[in-house]
Parts: sequence; structure tokens; C-alpha cells
Amino acid sequence: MSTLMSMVTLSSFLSLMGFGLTLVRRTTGVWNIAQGGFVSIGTYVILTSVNFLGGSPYLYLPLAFLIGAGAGSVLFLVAIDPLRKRKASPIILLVATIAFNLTLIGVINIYADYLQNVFRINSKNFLLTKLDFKIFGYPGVSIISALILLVFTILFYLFLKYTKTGLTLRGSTEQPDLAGVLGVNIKFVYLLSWTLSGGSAGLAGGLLTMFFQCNPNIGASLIAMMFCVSIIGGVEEIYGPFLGGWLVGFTQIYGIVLLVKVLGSWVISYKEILPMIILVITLIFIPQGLSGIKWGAKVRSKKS
Amino acid sequence: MLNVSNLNAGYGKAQVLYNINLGCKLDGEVVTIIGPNGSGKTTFLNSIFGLVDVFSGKITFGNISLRDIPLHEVVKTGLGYLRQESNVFETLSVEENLKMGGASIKKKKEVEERIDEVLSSIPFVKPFLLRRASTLSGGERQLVALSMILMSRPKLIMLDEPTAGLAPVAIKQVVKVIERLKDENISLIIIEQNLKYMLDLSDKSCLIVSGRNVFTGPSDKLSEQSDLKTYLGLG
Repeated sequence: MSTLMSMVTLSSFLSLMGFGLTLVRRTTGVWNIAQGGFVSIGTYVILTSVNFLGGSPYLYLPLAFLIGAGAGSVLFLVAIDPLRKRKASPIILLVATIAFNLTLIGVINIYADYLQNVFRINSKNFLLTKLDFKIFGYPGVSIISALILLVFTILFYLFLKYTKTGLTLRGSTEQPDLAGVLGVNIKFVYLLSWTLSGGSAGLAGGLLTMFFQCNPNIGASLIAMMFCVSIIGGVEEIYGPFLGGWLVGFTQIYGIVLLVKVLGSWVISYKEILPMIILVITLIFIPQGLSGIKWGAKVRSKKS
Repeated sequence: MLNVSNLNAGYGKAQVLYNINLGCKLDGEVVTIIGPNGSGKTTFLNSIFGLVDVFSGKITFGNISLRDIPLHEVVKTGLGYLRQESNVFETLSVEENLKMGGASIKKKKEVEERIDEVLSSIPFVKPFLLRRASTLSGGERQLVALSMILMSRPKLIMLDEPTAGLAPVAIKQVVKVIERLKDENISLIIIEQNLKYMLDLSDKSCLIVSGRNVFTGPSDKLSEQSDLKTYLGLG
């Protein structure tokens, strides 16, 4: 059961992180390396808040979302939008996100040193499990993260389906020029997607503090996994990362349990390779990702 | 009035249009633009909306310089644009496409009222309101695209080959709608290869060859142009 809860927790984190990556990829065509930095921001928002204001880390999750969202907006307005207007290639835009991420990591490291040296707060290697609570004997973060993911998914679906802004986001993702000709402010749509992307990463980072050992580079260490989630789930559909997150989470937890039984405990050191193997298999056999498979067509062809 | 003067435009470093001049009044005037493939007709319409690089020249609609405003503001001036390709959102339903057409309308109730008005004007679209646009035929798609443009109550609509690739029945439906637009005093700039339908409708014609405006004048004078005979393959 605890393995199941670990899988649920990890899958929820990965889905939230991968969602932002897929969203900006879908809307602006940019692979955002700074998504890792946004996650790190979330962890330090929680660390700072609980140390200076007290209380439960859950209280400050909205703040982690907001500050992550702010970081996403800044990256878009300062780097991505000006470069996009100058018709920068996808590679240049990717490099811009790398540069922003390096800057972010530097700032977070300086901030962590400041917290440690001035306030004697353990900020270079911390885990806030002690501040978590139990639900039916299980860590609260396992259930709360799954609930947050569920609510997030439902709210996002309702937003896309039933609001004018959601409709313009869907239309602009498919055909930005046509949307612009009809009067949609494409810059606003792109800004919204980067804001949501940063916010979801900040939120995931906030939850991470109660599950993973965190440090200034936690986001950077997870970026490869975020890419796996995004590509395995498929970038053509917004719900792709939710599929990818669960598959990667399942593989990471149950896959390693199985391999340990078969090969021995030495494989634990190599558990990060498992998502990469799934990624390679996905790219070879279903490059469009899980959400890109036309399940209806497959059922029809079987029937005929 | 839409006024284009000395327009030079293209893509990156490649110039496609050379000193194009054209005007269209807002009293239901219909201007037809014809020319060989690759002569720059679509580039001309795209440059009015700022979808291509404009190197120099003036583009004004009334008192507004269209070069000074962002893309999403152009439709608010009263201009509409029916593109030849990618003119509907395939993943959205027809109703959602119409709502996208009303993107410049702020109030939800106004959008819904406008949808009712447009559907009474183009009733052919009503039967497939809930269908995904990707499932529509070519003719149905053109009618939906036209309906989308009408959502913003344009004073002037630019249409890029509205009958291209359509069956004769669908062409008649589209031409019928265009005739109705003219009757409602909506000015039109139409790029069309199907001269049979459009020249009778138009007040003025413009022949563009190799990015240059070789003739602009009354449509009945067009047949005297030697370039037109070359374009039509008449020697």
C-alpha cells in the first residue's frame, strides 16, 4: 500500500510539472528548460514561509503557485516574446530558457546561502515531512497532491471547455494567425499559458518539500523526468502530461520494485534510467505519445 | 475607405510586392484582384493585416494606419479577412468557430445574439452547428468561414479565392452569400480565379502580375489588357 501511495504522490508531482511544459510547448512551440527553475522557486517559497510565518506548508501553496506564475510571466515578457517578435528559431528560444534557468538557479543558490548564513535555516538540503500530517496513517502529501491534481485537471478542463478565454486558448493553439485575424490578442494567450505553466511548477515544487530532499538544484535534477512525462504523454493534447505522469510514476516506483526482486538492490541507483527507456520506446513506436493514439480508429479497424 | 499606396512587401529578404496601389470605398464597392499563381495576390491581402513583412508604403482604413496597430486590433476597425487556407479551427465545433469569430465582442449575450443574426443570414450553416469543423466538406467549410468573418460586423471583407476547389453547387451557394453581402453594402475585395462569377459582380478590377499592379480600373475595361490575355492563355 505504501508503494501505491508513493506512486500516486510521484505521479501527481510529475503530472503537474509536465503539464506546464506541455502547455507552453503546445501554445508557443518552446521547450522550456526553466520549468525546473520554477519548481525550485516553489520549494523555496514554502521553506521561507514556514520558517518566517509558521504554520503548515499547505497554507502557502497558493503563494508558491503565484510566485511560480510570476516567474513564468517574467520569462515570457522579458525573453520569449521579444525573441518571438524577431522570429527567433525554436533553438534560440530554447537557449533563452536555458539562460533564464541558469540565472534562476544562481539567484536561488544565493538566496539559500543567505537563509543559511544569516538566519541559520537549513536551506541547502531540507525535507519538511515533519510539518506534514497523516491521513489514515499515510502521509498527507500523498493524498493532497492527488486531490490537487484532480481539482486542477477538472478546473482546467472546465476553463478550456466553458470559458471564452479557454476557447481562445484552444483556437490560438491550433491556428494563431487565424485567431489574430479574428481579433484574439495572441500575446495575452501566450502570456496566460506561460503564467499557468510557471504556476503549476511552483505548486508542484511546494508539494515536493514534503516528499523529496530539496536543494537549490532540485528542479534541474527533475527536468529530464519532466521531458519524459511530456513526450510520453504526448504534446498534441493538453491532457497528455496527465497520462505521461502516471505512466512514469508507475514505472519509477513499481518498475524498480520489480527489478530489485529480479536483479537485486543494486539497480536502485539506476532507477532514473527507467523513464528514459520508456521515452525511447515511445519515440520509436508511438512518437506522438499516448494522447496522440487514435483509440477510436484502432477499435474500428479491429471490428472491420 | 481602404487605401493602399506604394506598398512594398514580402517575406524576410524576398520582396514580392512592388509599389502596389489600390483603394476600396466603404459603400459596397467590390474590387476583384486577379493574376497568375505566385503573382502576390495573397501576399497583398496578408500585408494589409500585417501577416507578412511590409517594407514600405501606407495602408490606411479610414483615418487609421493599419501598420501602426497590432494584428488583433485590425478587425475592430471593421476589416474582415477570409483566408484561402486554414480559415476554420478544425478541432473546434462549428458553433465554437462562430464564437471565435466573435472574439472582438466583449459580452457573451451579444455573441449569442450575433450568432443568431449570422445564422439567419447564412442558414446553410445551421444544420451542422455541433459538428467538428474537420468533418465538414469544402463548401460547408467556406460557409462557416464566411459566417465567422460576419460575426464582427465588418464594413469591408477581403476574400481569398472563396470558390477555390469547390463543386459547382457549393460555388453557387458561396456566390449567393457574396451577392447578399454586396446588397447589404458591405465592401469586398475578392481574389478569384473563377472570373465567370466575379467579374459581373465587381465594380473595379486589379490585375497583379509578378508583384506589380499592371491594371486597376473598371472591370469592363479589363478585357482590353494584353497581360490579362496572357494570364488567360489567350496569346
